[in-house]
Amino acid sequence: MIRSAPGFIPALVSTLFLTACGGAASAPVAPAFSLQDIHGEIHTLAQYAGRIVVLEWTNYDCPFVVKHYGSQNMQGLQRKYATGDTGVVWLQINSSAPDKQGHFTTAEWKTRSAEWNVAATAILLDPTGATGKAYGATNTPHMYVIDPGGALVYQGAIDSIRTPDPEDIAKAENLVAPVIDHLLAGHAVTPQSNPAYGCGVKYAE
Amino acid sequence: MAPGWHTYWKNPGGVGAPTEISWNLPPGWKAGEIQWPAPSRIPSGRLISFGYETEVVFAVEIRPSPEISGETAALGASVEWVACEEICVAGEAALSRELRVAGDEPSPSREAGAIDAAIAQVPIPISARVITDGGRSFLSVEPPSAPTRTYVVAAVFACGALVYLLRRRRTP
Repeated sequence: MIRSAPGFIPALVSTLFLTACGGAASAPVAPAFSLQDIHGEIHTLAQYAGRIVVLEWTNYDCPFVVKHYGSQNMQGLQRKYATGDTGVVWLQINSSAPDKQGHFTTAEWKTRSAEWNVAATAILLDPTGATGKAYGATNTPHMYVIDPGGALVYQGAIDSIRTPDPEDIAKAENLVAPVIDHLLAGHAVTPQSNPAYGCGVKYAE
Repeated sequence: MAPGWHTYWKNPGGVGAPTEISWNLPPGWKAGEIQWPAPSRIPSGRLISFGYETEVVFAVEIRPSPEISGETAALGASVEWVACEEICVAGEAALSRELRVAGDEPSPSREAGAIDAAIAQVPIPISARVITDGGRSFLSVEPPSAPTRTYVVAAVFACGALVYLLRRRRTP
């Protein structure tokens, strides 16, 4: 005898098809944004047209983010791509609501990012969560790569081992760096999408 | 765990990471995998996670060396977990227990009941398949041929593929 499972299960399948795993034949256009950085300057995606843009959703008090900063892994990637002569723009984005973990004053942002030697191009603040929701950012860290034409070619995890343990970084496959390397080499990139891992983004209720 | 906090199943879902145990055992002893009890479905914001609230017991089969010398055996385990409420924290603990080597018939420990209950909550895989029809996906489950108990069936999917299908005896 074969019977169908309860109705919520097909719904779960289709949700995951659409959001977690993508599989779109052509890359979606990266949503536009206009956000203030921790120094009060506005950054828009449009101003970086023609360049590779990496977005890194972050929350400095999330243990999965601490994993990649305590180990210098994330700063290493930022230094390699954003402070060299590659022209890559690396934007950290924080979507914590004002009463939630990871929301800092601009003074705290300056102190905390200096303590970690964060080497991103800019740290952008999204306290309403509008930009995070437009991108479907679910986790910290959650990584996005936008090609010079403005197409979103990667969304998902920073690497392949989904733990908070820094010792796993050396054993993991980094999933973002090869996408950037491909773009820098002038190759077309097939859009890739996988579920990010980490803490949840602390959006407003 | 305090109310609102939870730890994670082997597939944590949208948030978190599974608990990990690394064992430090006497020479020749072997530890099996964690026998994961069926998790609860835990919504957090727009994400669904799978894990445990209040308390969870993980049963692990330990196989002693065929030759044991001495009157006691020390078992050590270092345990790492992620616990989340609204926020997440990473935890670790070094645990140890000295066991008496019994020459006679062993008697159940104080924890035997909790261990039995945990093992009874470990899901058993059953056969199922996903049928795609006109863009909609259905899960088709073959129930046990002569069900004598009430079963809870839960399925977990990742990237459109069935990852785990569970059945669990309803707690009497």
